[in-house]
Amino acid sequence: MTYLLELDDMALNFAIGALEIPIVRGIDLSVSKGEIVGLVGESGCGKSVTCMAAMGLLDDNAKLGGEVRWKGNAIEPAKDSTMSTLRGSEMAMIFQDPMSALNPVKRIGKQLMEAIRINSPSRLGRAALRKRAVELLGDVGVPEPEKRLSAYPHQLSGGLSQRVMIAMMLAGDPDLLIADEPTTALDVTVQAQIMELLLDLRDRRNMSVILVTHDLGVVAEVCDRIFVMYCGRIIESGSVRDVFANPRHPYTHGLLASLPRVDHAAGDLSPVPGVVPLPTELGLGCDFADRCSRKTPQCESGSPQLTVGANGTACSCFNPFGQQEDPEQ
Amino acid sequence: MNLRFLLQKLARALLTVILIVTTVFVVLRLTGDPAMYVLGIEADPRALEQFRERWGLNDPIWQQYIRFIWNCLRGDFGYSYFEERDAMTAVMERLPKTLLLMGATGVFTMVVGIPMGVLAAIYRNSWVDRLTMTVSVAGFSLPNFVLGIFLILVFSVTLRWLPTGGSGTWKHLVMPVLTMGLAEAAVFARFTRSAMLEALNQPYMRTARAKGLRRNATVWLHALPNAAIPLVTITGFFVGTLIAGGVVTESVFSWPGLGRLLVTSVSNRDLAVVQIIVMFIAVSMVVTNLTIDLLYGWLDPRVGSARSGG
Amino acid sequence: MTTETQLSDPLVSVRDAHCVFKTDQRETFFGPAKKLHAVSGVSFDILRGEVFGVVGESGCGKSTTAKIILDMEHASEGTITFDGMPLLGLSDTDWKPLRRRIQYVFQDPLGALDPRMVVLAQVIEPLTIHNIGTTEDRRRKAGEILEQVGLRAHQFAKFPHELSGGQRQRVVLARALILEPELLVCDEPISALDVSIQAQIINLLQKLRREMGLTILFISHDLSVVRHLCDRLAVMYLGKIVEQGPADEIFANPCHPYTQALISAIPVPEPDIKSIRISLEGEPPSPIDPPKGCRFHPRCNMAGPECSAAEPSEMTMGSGHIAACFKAVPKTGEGQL
Repeated sequence: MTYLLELDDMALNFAIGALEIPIVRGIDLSVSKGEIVGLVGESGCGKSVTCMAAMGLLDDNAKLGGEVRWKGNAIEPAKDSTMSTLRGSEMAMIFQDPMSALNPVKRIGKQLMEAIRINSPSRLGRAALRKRAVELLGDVGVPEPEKRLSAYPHQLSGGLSQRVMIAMMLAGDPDLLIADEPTTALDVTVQAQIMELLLDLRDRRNMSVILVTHDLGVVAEVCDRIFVMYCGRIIESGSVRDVFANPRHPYTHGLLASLPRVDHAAGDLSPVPGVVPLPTELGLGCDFADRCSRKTPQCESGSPQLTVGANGTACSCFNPFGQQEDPEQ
Repeated sequence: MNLRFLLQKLARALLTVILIVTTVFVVLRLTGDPAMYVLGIEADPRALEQFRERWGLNDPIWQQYIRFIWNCLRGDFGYSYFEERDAMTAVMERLPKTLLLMGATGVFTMVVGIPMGVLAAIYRNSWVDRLTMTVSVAGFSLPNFVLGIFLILVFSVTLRWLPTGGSGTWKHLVMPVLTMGLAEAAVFARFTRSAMLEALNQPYMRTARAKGLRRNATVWLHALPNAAIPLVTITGFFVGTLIAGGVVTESVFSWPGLGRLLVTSVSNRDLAVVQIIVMFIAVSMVVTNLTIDLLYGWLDPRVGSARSGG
Repeated sequence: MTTETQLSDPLVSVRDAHCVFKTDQRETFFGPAKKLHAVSGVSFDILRGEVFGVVGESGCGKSTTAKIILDMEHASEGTITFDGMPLLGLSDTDWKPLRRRIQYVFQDPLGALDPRMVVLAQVIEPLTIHNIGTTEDRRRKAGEILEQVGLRAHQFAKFPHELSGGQRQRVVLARALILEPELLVCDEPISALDVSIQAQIINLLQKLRREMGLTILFISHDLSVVRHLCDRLAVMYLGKIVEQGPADEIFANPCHPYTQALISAIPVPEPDIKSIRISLEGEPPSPIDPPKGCRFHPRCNMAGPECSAAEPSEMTMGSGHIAACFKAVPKTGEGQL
């Protein structure tokens, strides 16, 4: 089975002056056709930049290591000429805060038609572009699409702007849509609508989605598989069902246990103690050691590798939950 | 565009012009006796007195003012003592020359300054950026008369490539335009650079690339329209500087335009001519700013829309 | 979580409060000036010792409600009393002693702290302003409360930008609580923080409330947090309270269609639970031109003719549980399989 997108030992270093700071430190991630994958982590873990790096959207001060493969072929995200043909037509991305992600001085119709024009294999006349733009807006559930074409972004609500962005990115009929915190800035009822739309698009178009988020609830609702990132590394991955039912990495476990729930009231919450270390504070041992309730001496001296378990879940921990007596390594 | 809004702006503009003209009117009459300037210090007192009577200069200022306004409304803008003819004609004769100089400088400034700023922003922190910014600092630090005289020394006196002054051929245009334009281009380059940097950093640039646009295309299609907005603001200042700089430059290069006329007329207390030129300047500044206000509303769709949300 | 509340007379009482903002659109030939109705007649009590939540989505007026209680915005109508004393119309001098008793914590801890003062100094400052204790006393008190909120001594001399988001919010809390206020108004205090830190701050708030006998007004859009922290809550939509009552009661039996939709929209971190989602049609309308009649009726799947004709009054759904809806019927269960 060829994956759609594969990140193979991908690393990202950011050059700030003379220093090179590692933000992403060797991750493996894969997405197949028609699946929705959740990339979860807190701020600073590197989830957003990972996706932007795969799309080639980072600036020149980001140094990429490892390999990125699209449909089996290695691609060079830093090359604008090759990447711009892939972007829009094969892989697309929507961003957080749709209101500022749209150009404020252009009408959305124009922005939409630009997306259609760039990704269309043949030259389309203005009328054809317009027609297609109206179709796309209809596809994403924008009411009265004809009227909306002449609106400016600041005249739209958050939910509508996000739909417009999704429509723009669907213009080239991509196989993969990366959604970078698409609903973080939106109300919860609007979030529900957008999630429904993403699911619908996956079903109708067999489109894959990478959903980057910090909201585990959303992942549980929408995603098939989950990758958990911490300090630039993937520390756990697997099917959503397995990972949520039996989280093995103490971080994942702690995170799930610390969430306040709307479906039942708990006593005191059990939060994950401490703070996320800065990229400059990381040392030899496991990144999570300082905050970990299951720390062993081994955790301070070396960094654990990702090991794949029996059911396909992977976890990088020396002392994970659910550890059997016979080692699975 | 709201009609009431427009009328308010026009009314304010008119008020500004009246205020400026009045101030100059009063100041001119309080600071020296035109009779003596025109006829000379050693002229016969009786001739001086006759002159003043003739031109109503002994009347109280408010009376002179009313007469002035009344004449203006009838189209009579006064008489040039110095040139001994209708003041408006004297001014209009020089106007095309000034417009030519200002126009050429304007074009030069935009054509050199804006692309420099854009390049500096795109290749931020590279040698292109550092070079253009250094040159630009030099550009606006040098006083324009120093630059003008320096250019004359080099290109006219030493190299003999260009004439020292006057007007008539394109060669006469080169140095005056450079003198005024280099400083202005430098300012525009700086502003364009920061406006572009601001625009290039915005989230919508990433969206444009994510759609599949090439990097270059995103700069021209998405960043520039947004960067244009703050640039429009400084164009207002720019017109003002052009006018002010024009006065000095025209003097240095003996360019027969309004600037030079203004200088000589003020020295000679040629009241009517000074008043007309000041009126022109005031009106052009006010019109420029009004245009920019309106242009702003057209360029930036967010201006003027009702705020909502609690 | 229900806690025993001490006394039955409310600490804060709000009756029919309104807050209207002027917009840029002034009076023109085409019509009168447009006003933004941020809060349109809300009434609720906050009992001593309880955590009262106000929830709603953007534009509902929950932040503005907090601000009119704090005198940061001007309430155009209504009455607000604190400990029996009316708040509206008080002069600045009258407010000064009240500032000791009512404190607040807002969303952005970095913006709330002075970037040029170390955190210890910022926590001492309220004591200096209100002339409490000697310099030694103030230092000691500040140190104590910083420890109470979980900071260590070596962090006292740090500047705000040297601390993490969670640590900053703790400093803001310390600064707010050093005056031992009776009422703490929190407006989205944890929304800007990382998920793993949010739980820490929630626990901290509960601990402080127990230890200091605080009454808390907690404004948030995050219903999970509100469910966890609050004893009673009010749900706002477009400037009005559509439902209020005990938290457990409202989550178990949401009666107003908007509350039902809101609760059903929240994703639960358990893959096997498939919640029945109530979808809301359309977009939230603008508070400048709210719909006539019930403000929710254009998006309501249960709306009838009476809903556009008149504004619904509050109906009792249970003990202490009110919903403003013509069609409200107490539901049993949350609709989850």
